[in-house]
Amino acid sequence: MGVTGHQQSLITARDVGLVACTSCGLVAHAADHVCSRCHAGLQSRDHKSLQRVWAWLIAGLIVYVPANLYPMLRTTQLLKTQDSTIVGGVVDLVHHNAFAIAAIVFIASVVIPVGKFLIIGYLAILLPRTQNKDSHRLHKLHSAVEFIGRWSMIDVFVVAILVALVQFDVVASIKPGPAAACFALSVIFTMLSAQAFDPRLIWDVADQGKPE
Amino acid sequence: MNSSNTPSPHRLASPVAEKRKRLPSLIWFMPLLALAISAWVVWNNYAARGPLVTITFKSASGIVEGTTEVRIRDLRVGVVERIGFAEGMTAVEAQIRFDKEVAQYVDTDAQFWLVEPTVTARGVSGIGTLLSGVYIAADWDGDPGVPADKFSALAIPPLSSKHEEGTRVILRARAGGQLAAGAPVLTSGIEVGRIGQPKLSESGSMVTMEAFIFSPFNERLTTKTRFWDASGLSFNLGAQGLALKVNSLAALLEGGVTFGTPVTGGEAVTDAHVYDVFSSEEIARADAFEEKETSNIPISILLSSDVNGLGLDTLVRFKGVKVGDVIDVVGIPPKSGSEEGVNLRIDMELSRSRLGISTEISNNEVRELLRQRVANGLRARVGSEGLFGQTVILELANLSAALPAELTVDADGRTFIPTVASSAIDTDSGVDGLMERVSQLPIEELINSASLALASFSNLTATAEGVLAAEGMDQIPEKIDSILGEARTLITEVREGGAIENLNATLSSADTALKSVNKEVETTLSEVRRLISKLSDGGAVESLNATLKGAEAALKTVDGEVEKTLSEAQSLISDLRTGGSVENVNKTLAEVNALFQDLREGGAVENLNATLKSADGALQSVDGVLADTLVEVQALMKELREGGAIESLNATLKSADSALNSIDSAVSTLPELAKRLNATADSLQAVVSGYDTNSRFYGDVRGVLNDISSTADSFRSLARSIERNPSSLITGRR
Repeated sequence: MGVTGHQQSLITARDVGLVACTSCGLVAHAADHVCSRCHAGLQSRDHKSLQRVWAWLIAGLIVYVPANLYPMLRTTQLLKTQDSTIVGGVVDLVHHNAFAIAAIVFIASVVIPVGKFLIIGYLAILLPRTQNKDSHRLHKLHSAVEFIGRWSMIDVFVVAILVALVQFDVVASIKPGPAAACFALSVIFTMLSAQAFDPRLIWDVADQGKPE
Repeated sequence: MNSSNTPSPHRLASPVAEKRKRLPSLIWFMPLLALAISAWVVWNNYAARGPLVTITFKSASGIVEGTTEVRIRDLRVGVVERIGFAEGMTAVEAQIRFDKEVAQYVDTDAQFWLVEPTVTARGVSGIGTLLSGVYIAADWDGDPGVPADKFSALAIPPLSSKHEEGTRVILRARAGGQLAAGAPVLTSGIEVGRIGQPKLSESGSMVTMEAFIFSPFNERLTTKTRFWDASGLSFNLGAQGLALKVNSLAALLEGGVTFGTPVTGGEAVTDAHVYDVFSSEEIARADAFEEKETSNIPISILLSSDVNGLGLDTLVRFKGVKVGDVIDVVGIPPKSGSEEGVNLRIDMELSRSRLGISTEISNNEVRELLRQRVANGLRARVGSEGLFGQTVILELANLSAALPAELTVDADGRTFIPTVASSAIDTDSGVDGLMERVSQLPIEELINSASLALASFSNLTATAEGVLAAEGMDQIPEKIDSILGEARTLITEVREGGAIENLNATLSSADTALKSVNKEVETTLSEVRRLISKLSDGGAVESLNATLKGAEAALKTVDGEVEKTLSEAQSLISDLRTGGSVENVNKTLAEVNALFQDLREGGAVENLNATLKSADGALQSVDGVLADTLVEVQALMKELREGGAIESLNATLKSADSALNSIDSAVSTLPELAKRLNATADSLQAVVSGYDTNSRFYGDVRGVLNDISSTADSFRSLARSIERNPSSLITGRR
């Protein structure tokens, strides 16, 4: 067993042959495949969840590479054109002593995405393992990743706003670089990855030591 | 473990366990998709990269890696990726990444140059580079060619873009023109082109440069177009005053050329047509009007002596006619290494038509022809022309006495005409030559003769003084006084002796004589009028001139007579002075009396009439001079009267009569002369009618005719005044 007592005493829906609808919360028989109220698909456990997580995560990682290699912004100022990548832009901002903005850009476009990759990867690795782990911590991490994931889009929004606003022909104009699209894709993919995660599996492990 | 191994009775068999397939889910296509997207992005970026081209610059002024752009027509087509030294650090190499779209045009004919901000007289260019930094301008044509990846940047922008339409011509100017690259080409004051970088010719005497004439204006270029220097200011101090000409400010500072096509009928030109740049518009226009030979004969001469003033504009004359130009003057070392120094080789171009050589025969045949002419004595020599011989020319002359020589041809195919010694007195022209010529003027002889004349004049004066200082001169007044006293007594005697009546009668007869004279004068005047009308109709001015000349000659004889008369009068006076006796006076008076008697009897009047008649005849042509003569005669008579010697009047009249007789005889030949002159005038008229009404000769003739009619006018006015006052013939005009 090796499971703490108070957890053992919990009875899950699955234990009593029921399945809860994840979209409307209606409890149905485990044999039902469609929710009788909201017609959503019913699954007691999403056993393809981990595959989806890994797939989205890897896709996100792949597009994150060109997002960092290619220029995010193409700034034209008085006949002088400058391409800036994400990290290059942060370095430029630091050179201009705009530390706060540099920090925001750095956190939004580097720290958060990289953190998400790490956390999702960590969750996906730990979940099938039977070794002792703190299911509560994993749950918190998952919640955090789900919450914070969308904020990575702040970078894409900044680019979109700048491109829309700074169009003064010769004097100054900004165009999105190829990295912008890649970065947006990366954020979307990691968000999908986090969503694909079935948090019930965390607790199954806590209950049974191994997901079925 | 238990709970899992022994499921509760309510628990359903796990549906998951049944469904568990070990096949990968479709979701794994997502990473593949992401991979594909990334790969596409990477490939897209990579494929969009054009070729990497190396351009060599002299210096990397302002070129920044990753920033400095390559632009064509101000559109970015590439960027400098790397910049570094060329091998051996002799230059700077910039590696340029071109855009994919233009890659195919970066072929061997592409040109690159650095654009920096420049300030010239024509304005500021490349001002954008002040803010954006320098950029590299590119130019290439629109045809993909052999690709190249190494280029050398131009030091200055090319004259024209490959896309600009226009004509590229070559301008050839004398060295020293203030023409700079980029200077404008003007026509009618409009900038229509640019001048490229001037280059010195091999001999250093000429500057050649390319010029580009923009598209609509290049149609104005024909083979008859002439270019001239429009640089700066030109002063011209001439008969019309000071002329100051300033072209555009840019032309003032940078120089410029203007072209014009003063002669129509030229053919259109293609690229690389060579034009000469003349120093002024006048010269250019003059050149345009002078038909250029297409096939000039190139000849050369060798001069061993220094000749100042020989240059490219030196004329080549043959029998005084310009037959060619000097096109080059080159110093060449003498062959045998003699110590004479440098020989001058003068290359000329001779016009075929001016030399009377057909344009159809070949240059070799021309050479044979020249050889023959040289054998017959054709030689070249340095000559001079101009008022003071200040202009050096080259002369071709047929000198049969020249030493035998022959035409030579050198290794380069130049034909040399033998030379002879200079015909100029001093070819070292300039001020020295001028002074030489001035010093050769016969000024000294002139001054000598002048001083001789002055000496003889002073001799004359001395003699005159001697005469005046002679003894008895101071006694003359007294003697005259006594003579007068006696004359008075004589007069009283005369009055008492009834001489007055005689005199009265004489005067009345004189009156009748004068009346008849009047009639005669009237007929004379009508004749004069007729003559004048004839003159103005016939237009035989030259005959008139000749007549006047004859009249003058006649008057000269009159003068001689008058002088003789005067000398006689003088001798008479001297007689008076020496003799001084009253008897003489008495005798004289008796003679006067007899004279009056004669007068009364009409003989003198008849004489006078005859005289007047002959005067009338003479008057037909010599009126004015005759009047003057008569005035002189009158003055003489007055003098004589005052001198108290009346006899001299008779003598004078007699001599005047004889003079007039001689005039008469002279005049009698006039009709014949006039006839001859008329014939001359007729033939002249025939000649004149042969001339075009617009010719210059006709104009001259008309001028002469005008002169004649004005002469006739003055004759008419004279005739009128005589008519009004006939006595003016005797007394002169009042």
